[in-house]
Amino acid sequence: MSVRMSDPELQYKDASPPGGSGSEARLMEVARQGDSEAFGELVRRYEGRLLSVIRRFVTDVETARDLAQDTFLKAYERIDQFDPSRRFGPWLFRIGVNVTLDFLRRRKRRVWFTLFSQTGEDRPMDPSTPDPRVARDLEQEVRAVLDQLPEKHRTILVLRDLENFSSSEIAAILQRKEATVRWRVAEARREFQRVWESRQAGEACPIHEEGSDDETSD
Amino acid sequence: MKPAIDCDQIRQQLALSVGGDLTAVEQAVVDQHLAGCVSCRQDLAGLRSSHAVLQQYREETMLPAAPSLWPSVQARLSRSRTSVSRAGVSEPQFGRAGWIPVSALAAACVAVLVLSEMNPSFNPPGGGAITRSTPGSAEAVELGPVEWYGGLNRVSDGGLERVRSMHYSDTTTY
Ligand SMILES: [Zn+2]
Repeated sequence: MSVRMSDPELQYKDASPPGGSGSEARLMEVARQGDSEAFGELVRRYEGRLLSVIRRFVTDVETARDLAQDTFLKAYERIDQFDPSRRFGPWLFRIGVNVTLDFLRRRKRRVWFTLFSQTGEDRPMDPSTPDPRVARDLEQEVRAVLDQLPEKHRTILVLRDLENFSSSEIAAILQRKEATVRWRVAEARREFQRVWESRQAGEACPIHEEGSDDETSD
Repeated sequence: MKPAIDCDQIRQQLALSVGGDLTAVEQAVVDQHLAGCVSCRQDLAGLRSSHAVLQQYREETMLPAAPSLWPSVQARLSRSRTSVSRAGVSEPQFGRAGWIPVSALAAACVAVLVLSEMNPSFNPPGGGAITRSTPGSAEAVELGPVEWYGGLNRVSDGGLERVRSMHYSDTTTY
């Protein structure tokens, strides 16, 4: 795939910060032997990027920081499972995406519980119905559209279009074939467009059923 | 003259093209088609405009630099080491996130199903996730949407259990 090489952000946005994967495998090995400072070096290298990814799913900064911490702790717990012949970045981001999606799933369950057990003061506004009284800014509008998308589409848009990971990096993070990732990127952009346009037209847009994507499993 | 390649074949490529995800060869094929196809050009314009919105959003929501997480991670690492060596296994902690009784979830499922029956246009937030669970069965605990990443967090090392034992200090309000 082609990336815009002129984009200066790609320097920072690359999944592997300076230092190279070789030195990262060494740091992991030293950390595995009990030197937590080596792990600290990896934390410092990756925390900005990881936090940025998590923040795309979880808007509250403090929650995102907690989830990033959890991700690093989980990575440390699983240090024996890290394959030094592979890159550290995708391995870490995979854990991070998982920790975050898991958190969101549990929170969603909690919202449903609240919805059916209380009188409605805490009820979140139905995201599929735009509120015509308030001129909401772009940030809120996009957020609302993203929140409406199925998890699989939201995840792919976050990684590709908001965090600028390449298709091959996303394939490594999600452990999917690159062709599958490209298909998903196309699908997710279409879905974003569909929901965005119907929101702009003031329609309540039907949410596509999740769960019809089994055929793409490897 | 009718374009050589079918519009349906081009449609997926167009969605990739707006993000610069096509190879030079693929892009050339798309460009050639676009030159002779008004409806695909219109389609591309729509895709470009919604993709531009996403890019603008991305730029407006870049995260400012923040203090390192390492001191907190390090503190939690040494805490968990202490608790492991003392008790052999660390105590599972549940944050406010907690776990909802299965009966409550089952009741919620029934309510959703009833609403869906009454009003076919009723859409629970989060899409069809909930429709896959059977009220009253053990499945009801798994209300999460379909996992596209099959087994991403259901790895063989008991990962899910570890996720459950993690403490999330949930400060989000909604
Ligand atoms: Zn065409």
